[in-house]
Amino acid sequence: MNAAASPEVLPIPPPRLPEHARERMAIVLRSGLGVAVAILLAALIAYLLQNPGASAGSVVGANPIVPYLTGSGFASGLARGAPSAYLTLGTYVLIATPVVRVLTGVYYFRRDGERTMMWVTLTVLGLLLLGLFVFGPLIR
Amino acid sequence: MGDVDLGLFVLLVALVAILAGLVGSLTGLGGAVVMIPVLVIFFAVPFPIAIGTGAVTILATSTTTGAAYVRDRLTDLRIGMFMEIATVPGALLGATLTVFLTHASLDNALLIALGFVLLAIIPGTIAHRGEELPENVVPDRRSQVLGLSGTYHDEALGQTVTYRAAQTNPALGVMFGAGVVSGMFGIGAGVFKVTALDHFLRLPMKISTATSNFMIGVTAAAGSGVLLAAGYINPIVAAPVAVGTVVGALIGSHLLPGLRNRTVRLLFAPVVVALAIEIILRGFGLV
Repeated sequence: MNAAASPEVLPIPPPRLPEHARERMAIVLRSGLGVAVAILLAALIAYLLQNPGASAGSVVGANPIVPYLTGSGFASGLARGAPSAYLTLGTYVLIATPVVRVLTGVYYFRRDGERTMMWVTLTVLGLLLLGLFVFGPLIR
Repeated sequence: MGDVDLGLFVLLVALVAILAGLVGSLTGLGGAVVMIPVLVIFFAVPFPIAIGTGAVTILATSTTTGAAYVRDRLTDLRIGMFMEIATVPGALLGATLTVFLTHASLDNALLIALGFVLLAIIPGTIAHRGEELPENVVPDRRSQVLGLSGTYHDEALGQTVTYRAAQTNPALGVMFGAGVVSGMFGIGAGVFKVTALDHFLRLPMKISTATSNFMIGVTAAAGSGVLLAAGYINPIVAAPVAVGTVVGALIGSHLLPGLRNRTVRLLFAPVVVALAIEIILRGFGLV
C-alpha cells in the first residue's frame, strides 16, 4: 500500500488559500470574539447594577434572555437599552463569528475559482443557517 | 447556591472558570469538559443550562486558539470544511435530541450519558497519539478530487511536510458522531474529531490538532443556535464562564507551555474521572 506504487494518486496541488485570506480569517475570529466579550461583559455589569440583591437561583433557573429571543422582543429590548437584550446580542455575535468565518471561506474559494470547495463550504453555511433560522425557531 | 447573591455567584463562577480553562488547556480536555460537571455539582445550575454554557465556552475558546492556528498555516481549511458537512448535521441532531430529552424529563438519562462520555474521552486524551508524520498514505478518490492535501513547514522537525487525506468515508462517520456528542452535551468532542483526522484521514498530528480546533468552533455554532432558541443558553452564567475559560486557557498556553504534556494529563485525569462518577451517581439519584 505505498503511495508511490499507486498510479492513480494525483500530485499534491500547491497551497491555494492565499496568505492574506488566512490573515483575514484570523482577524474575523479575533474581532468577533472581542466584540462579543465586550458586549457580554458590559451587559452583564449593567444587569447586575439594575438588579442589586437578586439571588442566583432566581436568575439562573429563569433565563432572563428568553423574552428577547424573538425578533420583535429583541429589537424593542435593544431600543430601550435592556441589559438582557444586549446579553442576547453578545451571544448572537459569539455564535455568528464561526459562521462569518465559513462565509469568508465561500468568498475566497469562489474568487480562486475552486467551484467544488465553494459548494462544499456553501453547504456547510446552509446547514449552519438552517440550524440558526429553521431548527432553532421550530424548537422554540 | 440558590440563595447566593447574584454578583457573588457571577464572580465565583468566573474564578472557577479561569481554573477550569487552565486545567482544560493543560490537559487538552478543554474547559467545557471540566466546567459543565462543576456547574451542576457545585453551583446547582440546571443541567440544560450547563450544556448551553458549555457550548458557549467552546465557541469562545476555539475562537481564541483558532485564530492563532489559522495564522500559523496549520489549519487545513479544505479538510476542516469538508468534514464539517458531517459534524454540523450531527450537532444539530445532538442539540435537538437534548431539547427533546429534557422536555421529556429525561435530564437524568442525559447526565448519565455525559458521565460515560467523559469517561470515554479520558483514555483518548491520555493515550499516545498516532504517528507524528504518517507514512504510506494512499488517498481515496474523493480526497484526490477535492484536493484534500497540503504542505506546511514543521519548525520542530526542520522540514517541509506534505500530506494527503485517506479514508474519507469512515472519517465522515466518526465526525458525524463527534457532532452529535458535541451538540448533545455542549462539549468540543475534540478527542473524537482528532481520532477521525489522525487514524482515518491519517493527517500529521499538528494538522489534526489545529484542524480539529477550527472545526470545534463551527460545530459549536450549529449546536448553539438550537440550544439558544430552546432557552438553554443563559448569558448570566455563560458570559462569566466563557470569559473565565478563555482567560484560563490563555494563561495555560502562554505562561505554562512546558507543563502541557502527558504527565499533566495523567495528574488531572482523576479529577475528571471523579466529576464523571459524581455526574453518573446524580443521574441515578444516588447523590
